[in-house]
Amino acid sequence: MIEVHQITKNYQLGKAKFTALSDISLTIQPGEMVAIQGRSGAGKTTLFNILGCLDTMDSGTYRLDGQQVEKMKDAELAALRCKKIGFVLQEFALINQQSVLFNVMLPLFFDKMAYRTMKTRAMEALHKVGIANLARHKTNQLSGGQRQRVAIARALVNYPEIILADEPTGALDSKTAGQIMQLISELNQQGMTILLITHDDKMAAYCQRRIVIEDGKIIEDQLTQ
Amino acid sequence: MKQFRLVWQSLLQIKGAALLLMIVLTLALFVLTYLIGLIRYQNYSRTLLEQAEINNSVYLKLAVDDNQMAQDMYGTFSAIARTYEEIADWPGIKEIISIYSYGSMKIDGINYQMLVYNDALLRHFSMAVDGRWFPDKPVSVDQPLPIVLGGTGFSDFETGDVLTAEYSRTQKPISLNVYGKVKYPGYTLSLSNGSTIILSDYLLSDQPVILVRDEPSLLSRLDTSDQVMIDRNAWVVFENGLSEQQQGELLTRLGSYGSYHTYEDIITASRESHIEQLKEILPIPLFLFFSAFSCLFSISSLYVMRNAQNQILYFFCGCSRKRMIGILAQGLFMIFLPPALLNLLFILFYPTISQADWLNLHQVVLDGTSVSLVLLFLAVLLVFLLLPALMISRRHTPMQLYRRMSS
Repeated sequence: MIEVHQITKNYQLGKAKFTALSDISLTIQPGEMVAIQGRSGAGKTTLFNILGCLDTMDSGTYRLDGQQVEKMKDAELAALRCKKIGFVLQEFALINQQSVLFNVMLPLFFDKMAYRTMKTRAMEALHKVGIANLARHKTNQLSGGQRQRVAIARALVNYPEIILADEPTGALDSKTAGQIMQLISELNQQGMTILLITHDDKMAAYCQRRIVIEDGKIIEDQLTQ
Repeated sequence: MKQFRLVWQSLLQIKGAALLLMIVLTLALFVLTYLIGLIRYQNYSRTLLEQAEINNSVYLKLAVDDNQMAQDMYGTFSAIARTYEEIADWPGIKEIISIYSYGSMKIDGINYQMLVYNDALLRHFSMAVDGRWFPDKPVSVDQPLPIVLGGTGFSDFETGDVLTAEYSRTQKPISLNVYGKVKYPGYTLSLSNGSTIILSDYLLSDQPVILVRDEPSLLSRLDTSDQVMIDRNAWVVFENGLSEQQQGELLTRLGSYGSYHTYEDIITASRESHIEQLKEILPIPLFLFFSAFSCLFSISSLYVMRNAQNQILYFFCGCSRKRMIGILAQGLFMIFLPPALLNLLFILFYPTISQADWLNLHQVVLDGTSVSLVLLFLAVLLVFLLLPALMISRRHTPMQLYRRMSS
């Protein structure tokens, strides 16, 4: 479960201080699929960074599965990212010169696991997203949809509890985007918590809950299904 | 092994540049090693002089008629020896440090000059040796002659070896017992230099020499005459506590026998010359070195930039910032490793190589200290080259960097 309470994040832009998030509080139950929406600069990415343990907050508390995140050090946050969170990003975030298999195995490099087990787990994740036959291909030989499947397989490989997806369909055509959202929904139906940042209302419609952020504050939080 | 795969992956981003970096770094390290060796030799030569405890002395260059020397070499040598004996008896003169010889020794077809070390020479210029400087008491004449090996070119001989040599004057074999070997860099005192300017670096030689102790039985043991060959130059050491006037009188008197340089003058001139020499020599190596350094920095920046996106991906996947920097550092370390190993092996084996006379960079000291300095340099370089990555990772969040790079 994700529980954030009154989190605030400021950025220093030259001499001016910019408040990206102001007193944000929210709770996300395990197995929820939540869309986070808002205009550019509203604070979505800052929230994504904090929920993903990629950045720290200035004030407030964040509990992830009962663990007090804001007190954690860099190495502890890294371990938390490795074990509990999978990321899917707009531009796929893959190493192009490397094989699909290597890309999917990547999170396991930071876990204590034998290389052979890593391969098995990566193949398992590739099967789950339906591209096991592409394991030996280089990622730059794949289509956009296939690449995003690789990214999803990588997000799944460590059996995380949460998947954070930042505009996962932003670089895809509408048909492929629909397929990817279908895949993400299936993962959610299997019990995975999904947090989806998107501008696209069609994509947000796949989620059961919609949170809208504006000027660093939650202005809407409602169940849609 | 897993970590190595990530490091290897980071290196694959700059295959060609990494190779170029290795070549440039190899050259830069050799230039650095040479510079360190040169500076260390200059300090070494000056330190030897400073540790010789001859502060109150002059380097006397006896005026000798070269025509006379050509006509009657041994007669002239005898005259030089007698002059020094006379000077040694002057009031206010403590001792004369001179080097003389009774010929050479041939071992395995190679001629080595044999130098005789008297007590004064041993007291002031007994360099560190492997083994020891001669036995405490003279050995009987039926025992092999105790010797110490100085200079380079004696890699085949070890302390404790008993060698058979052919003595140049009698052409007879003589048995020699190696009591010691002057430790690397192997330099011994040389008094052969009579230049207008005398510097500490001129007073050492790495020529291979066999050193024997001056003792009463030496001539009978060698079965030779007392025809001595002596350097015309010598250190004349004054008694302590002489007044300035007494010292002045002695210097005036010595001046009538030739020219001299006081110990202080030599040390001061050496210091000044070493600085001047470095100023003269340094520009080219420094230019090469800084060119190499700029190249290193450019390629390393390229390495950091090319890997930045992967590093961010690693961060998303559960890699800590510290480990991200660690992967970059290990990648650079792997680039550094072959040049460093090549260079360090050269430094470590240089004493052996120079002892065997395969390669001798004269007036350069390369040893364990050079290794430490090269390693220190590499460590500093590594930190310096990682600074951009450290600064970038502190200033920007991974997501900011990812977005910037994606766009």
